[in-house]
Amino acid sequence: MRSVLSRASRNFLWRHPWQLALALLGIALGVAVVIAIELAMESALTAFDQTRKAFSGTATHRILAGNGGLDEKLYTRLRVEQGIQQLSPIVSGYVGLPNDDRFRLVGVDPFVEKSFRSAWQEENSDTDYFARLITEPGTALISEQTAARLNLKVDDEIMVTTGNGEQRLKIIALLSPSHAISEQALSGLIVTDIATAQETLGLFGRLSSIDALIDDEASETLAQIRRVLPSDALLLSAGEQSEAMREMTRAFSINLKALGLLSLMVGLFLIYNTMTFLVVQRRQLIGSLRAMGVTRRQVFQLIIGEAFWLAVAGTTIGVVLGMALAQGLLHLISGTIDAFYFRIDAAALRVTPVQLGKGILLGLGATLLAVLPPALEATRLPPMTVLVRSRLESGVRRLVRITGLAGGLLIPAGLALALLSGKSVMPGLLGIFLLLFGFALLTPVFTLLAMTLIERVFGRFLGILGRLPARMVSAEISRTGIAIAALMMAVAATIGMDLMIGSFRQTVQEWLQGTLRADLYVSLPGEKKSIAGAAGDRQLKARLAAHAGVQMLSSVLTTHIIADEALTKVSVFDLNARARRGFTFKQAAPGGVWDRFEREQTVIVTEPYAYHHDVKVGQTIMMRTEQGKQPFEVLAVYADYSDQGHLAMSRRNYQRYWPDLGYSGIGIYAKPGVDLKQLEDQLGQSLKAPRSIRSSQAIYQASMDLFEQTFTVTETLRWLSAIIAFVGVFSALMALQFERTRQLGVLRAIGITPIQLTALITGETGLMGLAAGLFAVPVGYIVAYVLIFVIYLRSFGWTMAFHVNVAIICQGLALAFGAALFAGVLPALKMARTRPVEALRNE
Amino acid sequence: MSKEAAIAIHQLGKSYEESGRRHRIFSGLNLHVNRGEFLVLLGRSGSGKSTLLNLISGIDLPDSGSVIVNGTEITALSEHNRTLFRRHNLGFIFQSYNLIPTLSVGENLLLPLELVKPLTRADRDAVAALLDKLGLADRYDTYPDRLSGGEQQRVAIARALIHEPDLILADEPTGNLDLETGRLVLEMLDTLVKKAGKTLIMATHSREVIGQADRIVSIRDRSLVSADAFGS
Amino acid sequence: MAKWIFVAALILMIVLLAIFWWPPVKLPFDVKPDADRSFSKTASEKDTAFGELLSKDDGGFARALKPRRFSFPQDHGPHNQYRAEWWYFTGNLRNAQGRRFGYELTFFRFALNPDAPESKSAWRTNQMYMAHLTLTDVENKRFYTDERFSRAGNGLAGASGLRYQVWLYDWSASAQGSADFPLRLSAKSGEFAVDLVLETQKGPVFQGEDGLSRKSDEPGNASYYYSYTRLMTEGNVRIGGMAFPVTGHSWMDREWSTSSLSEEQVGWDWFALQLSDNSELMFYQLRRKDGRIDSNSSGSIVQADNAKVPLKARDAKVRVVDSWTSPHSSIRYPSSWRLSVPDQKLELDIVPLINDQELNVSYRYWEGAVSVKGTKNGRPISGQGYVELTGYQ
Repeated sequence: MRSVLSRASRNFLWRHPWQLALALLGIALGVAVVIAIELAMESALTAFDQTRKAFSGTATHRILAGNGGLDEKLYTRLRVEQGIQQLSPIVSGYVGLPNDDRFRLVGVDPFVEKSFRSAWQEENSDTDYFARLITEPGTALISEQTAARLNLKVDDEIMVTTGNGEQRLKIIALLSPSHAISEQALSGLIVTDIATAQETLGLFGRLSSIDALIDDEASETLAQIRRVLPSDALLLSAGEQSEAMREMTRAFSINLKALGLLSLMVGLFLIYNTMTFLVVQRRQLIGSLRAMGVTRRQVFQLIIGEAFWLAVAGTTIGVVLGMALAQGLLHLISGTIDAFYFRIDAAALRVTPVQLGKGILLGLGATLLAVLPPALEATRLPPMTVLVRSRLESGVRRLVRITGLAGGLLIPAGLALALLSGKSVMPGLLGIFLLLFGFALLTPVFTLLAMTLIERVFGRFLGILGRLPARMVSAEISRTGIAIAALMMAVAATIGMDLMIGSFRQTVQEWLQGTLRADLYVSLPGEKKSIAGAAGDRQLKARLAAHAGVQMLSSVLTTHIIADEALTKVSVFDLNARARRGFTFKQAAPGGVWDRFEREQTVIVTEPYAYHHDVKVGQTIMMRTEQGKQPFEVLAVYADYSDQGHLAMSRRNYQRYWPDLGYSGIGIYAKPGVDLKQLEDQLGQSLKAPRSIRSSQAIYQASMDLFEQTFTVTETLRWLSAIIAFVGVFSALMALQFERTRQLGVLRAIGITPIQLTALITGETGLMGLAAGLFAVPVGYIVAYVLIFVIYLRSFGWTMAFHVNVAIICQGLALAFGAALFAGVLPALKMARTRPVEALRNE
Repeated sequence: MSKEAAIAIHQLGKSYEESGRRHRIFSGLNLHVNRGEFLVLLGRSGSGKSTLLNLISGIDLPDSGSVIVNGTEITALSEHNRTLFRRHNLGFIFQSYNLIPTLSVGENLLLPLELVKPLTRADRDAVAALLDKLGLADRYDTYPDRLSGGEQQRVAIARALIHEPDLILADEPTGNLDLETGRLVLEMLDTLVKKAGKTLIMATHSREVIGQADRIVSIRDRSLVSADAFGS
Repeated sequence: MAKWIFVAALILMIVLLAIFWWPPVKLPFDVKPDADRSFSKTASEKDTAFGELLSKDDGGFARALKPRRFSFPQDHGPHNQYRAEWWYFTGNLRNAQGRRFGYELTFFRFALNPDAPESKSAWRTNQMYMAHLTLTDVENKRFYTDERFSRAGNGLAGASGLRYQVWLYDWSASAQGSADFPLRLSAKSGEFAVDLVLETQKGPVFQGEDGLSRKSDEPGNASYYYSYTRLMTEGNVRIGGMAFPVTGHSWMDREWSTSSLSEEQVGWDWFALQLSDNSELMFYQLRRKDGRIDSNSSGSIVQADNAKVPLKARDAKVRVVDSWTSPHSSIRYPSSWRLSVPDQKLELDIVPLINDQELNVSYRYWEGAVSVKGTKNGRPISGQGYVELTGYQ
């Protein structure tokens, strides 16, 4: 009995492969997006951790300082005077390869304890090269995989570009990582002896950091280290470092996950929709079964069981799809993290059971939950009843009012949650979800109103046949409503995000145009770490200043200083009057900024820094210097969209406490009447790679390109949820048309031509799209508002002006209308092609 | 246009494919129906009564042979033209009424008229008049799901007649109705169709109808036999 | 049928659940592994596999070819042009209750290649140091070892020719005042530590031919070798949390060379014994691959008045009385000897204080405190000392 029973329902699915496929697709896409974001985000962060582990091994702590690094004598002091064991000195920096690859050059001391178990120590059997590594300058190790990738063998030489100029390194051995993780971590590393690293990077006398392996219980060792630590150095545990990094990207990752959840939410509508149809279409079958004595429980089990297998299959597809998607997303996400937070060396996709588990649980759980209402509905069907759809629908209308009311309550609740939740991102996002959900619940009410209106206004011109599409939408609101709501949510999210990105773009454009005051910019890339490199930078600046076409210069040095107990990015400015006009102050101390900026111990901070660190004008920031901690007063908060916050101080202030590390960029202001192109060419000839000169226009362009690139992730995810919504509308329409095959057959029988029928169906779906689109516009606006003034402010600390763009609204409308129309085409054509006799037979 | 023959069916053949096996319904079926004739179609369930009606209406196409309605060979028409032909010349009455649920009673009746030509005030009056005649005057704005089965079938008959087609096809119009209501519906058909001189072909089991019919044919062994012969 | 509300509530619930459940969870497999600490009965802290660094020959180094004039404190300092060099301290100690301890603290210097590289980096060097620290706890039959490595760069390890000072990280042997002695030895490991002050009782003894100690027939296969054979020792040893004030006698060997053993030689048994008549005996026996004793084996007796009696291979006879198999390495070592010097009418039975004094470090050898009993000129004599066994497999 059981097997025949389940076959009765299964055969139904097999006979409607389209619906089966769409239901699977709905589940799969929802799961895929969630898994992809989870995996990609986790992989990007893990890559960072892994790279650290590759040369820090099992280190529990790290001593670090600002960009000037640590005095190497500190290490001697700790080892020899304090007798602290299990310390590993590290000199590291980025180097460029001729093929434009960037590698992290890590100088280590091969004699440190093996207990660090770092990736370069794993190389077990052959230590012959140790002597060469230590005694022979310019010797390096790379991993076997890297060697294969770069087509290098032992004894080959590579040219690397550093802040110290071009250097030659000789590969004397290959590291064979023992497992995938260290292989991945090593893939972006060049390992050398610490002396070689100092020589190559020009970091004589300095260490980048000291790793330490200290037992949890050995708190006295930590105290011992702290006692001798110079005031410009910081001791951090690996956990703290990792935590800080995760904390930094938390807002970013929450935003991505929110997009994933949006996809899943739209996907849920789709699953609910599909499963409801599958139940509704089988009313007669279920009624017959019940008449034969199949119990309610059996019917329930039948539906849930079926949904379970659908969920399993859909989730499986989703997991596979998600992993593929994650591969693509990883690149984008790493790019964004690279641009805004910290450098990620070699991110490869790491599939972790936790992340997969989340996705799988979500897929299975959501599907089963979504199928619960239709399953319960099915059990309530009386035996052998053929319910007339419209009778059902009239009952639904009351419900539409109730859900509308619920929606009306959710919207203010969501708005309140978003606006009144202080600085946290999570409630803000939750608010957006409530908003969207509330509006989704309002959609049926809105649709009914819109359809009545359309009929009232256009009905008299259109005749009975013309009224039919609107009637069909209203009449089956329990079905069409879900599809419209799903489409509305996706389109509203699209409009909201487009408006937000558009506003952001315009804000950044205006900011860039204001900030780029110089005519030409010389960039001196590379980490500014070595005092030795600074002399070259100074010479270059003097040479530029001496050029006949140059009126004046400005300069910036981007470095890191420990401010308020955290390693903080600092821009060190040497500004002229024109450059100063490029700063837009959001807040400023009364009585002018610039004079005090130069003369007093002060800083100005970027808007994101002020937001994240809760810094206000007039407060002081404590900075670690070799002369102890020094207070710096915050003079102003200025607009900056380049990163997640930094400080700016005058060069004069900087040089009082920190070593001159040269310049990161020099702005050139040409004399009036000088041909800029010519000047650029002339000055460019004297620059050696990687230094380059670019016009402010080119910088502007490059910055905007970076901006667009950063939003590719958002863009991609948004399109994914739009696709899911489209699939939802498509499957809803397919099912809807399928359900009323007979009705359409009657229309054909009384003389409606296939073309008229096509027009009728596409008219209906077009109307649905229009309703979704129209409703999505105001909802999109509200979403954009919350995104700009709540989510982005809280996540990134950026304020921006709301720019309304009519094109975006039209696009949204077109998207909704087009998607629905397109989704209607296939069912319409299918119905038109069906011979009326077949349609009539269908019951 | 032949005056006598409203419908001429010649050597009609039709078969269906069902799970890989061909299932013949008709072969070499011939039928002539005169203008104004009331023909009753008898036959066991599954003998092909509905199929024959579908073939006459052009909803379905035969494998062989021809169907000529009012001088037009509908089997030779394109799908589009067949639909237009149906729109102008045919009224269809189904066993399960098949009213359009999203249209009100009045609109259900206006739809065939609209398909023929743009609606006028006169059309609405005509619909109101017809509903009045059927005793459904107060149901103009009601949706079909509020009507009883008998009422729905009366509306369906009205829909089949409203645009004044020459030929009415009825597929067991009383099949879903109780005896009393069925009788009422038949009476209506009798007055509205027969008296108006329209051709009516009805597939039915109902004994009551047989008495009113001009002619009775029965489908047997994939062909038609006269019921007189069958009866005697 | 409140379907819409039901669905609404459900979906809302999922969204809420998903959001709150989202932040990354910490799971047990994130826990970091502990550092490698393998303690057996005989505690051994070792850092593996730097051994290969030390065993390569190379031209370009200076060689010990003929006797030299020693001058101090310069010659206490490093001789970087030679390939290998060591500062060797061993000693037998006791506390007030008579509890016996043995210790070894040795600093090795190795030149990775002959030429000192030029660089602005303080880390660039061709000199590498290794140090071994052992402590023998006789009462508990425990033997503690630890080893260290470092380059000589950046002040992490080195030796001075200006005053007696050799160090590797925080392990050091350095002159207390302006004179070479008293010398303070200080070294601690996780489990144990020594902190001792050594005062000389007898001046340096130049082993071999005025300090040139030939190890094989090949010229240059020799070292410069001098010893302080009896150093009054006082200080503390620590095991775990327990500190023991101790006194006793230490022995210091200083030796540098570029190559010492020849192809045929596999290792040596080295005896450094301090006898109760205030004399000391040093004898090393070079073992050949064929099992015979190399004729270059030699030693010396330093009499109470500091007069040196050189010993040739044939002057001393060493008979292995017993042997012991290491449970760690499965190597079989001799574990009791009868050493006789017929000319001096000296007969000594040498027994380790405990058998397990094997150093399982990157270069494995046995070096342990021994006690001595015997006769000299027919009169009973006793003593203590250290024995080193290398090249056993």
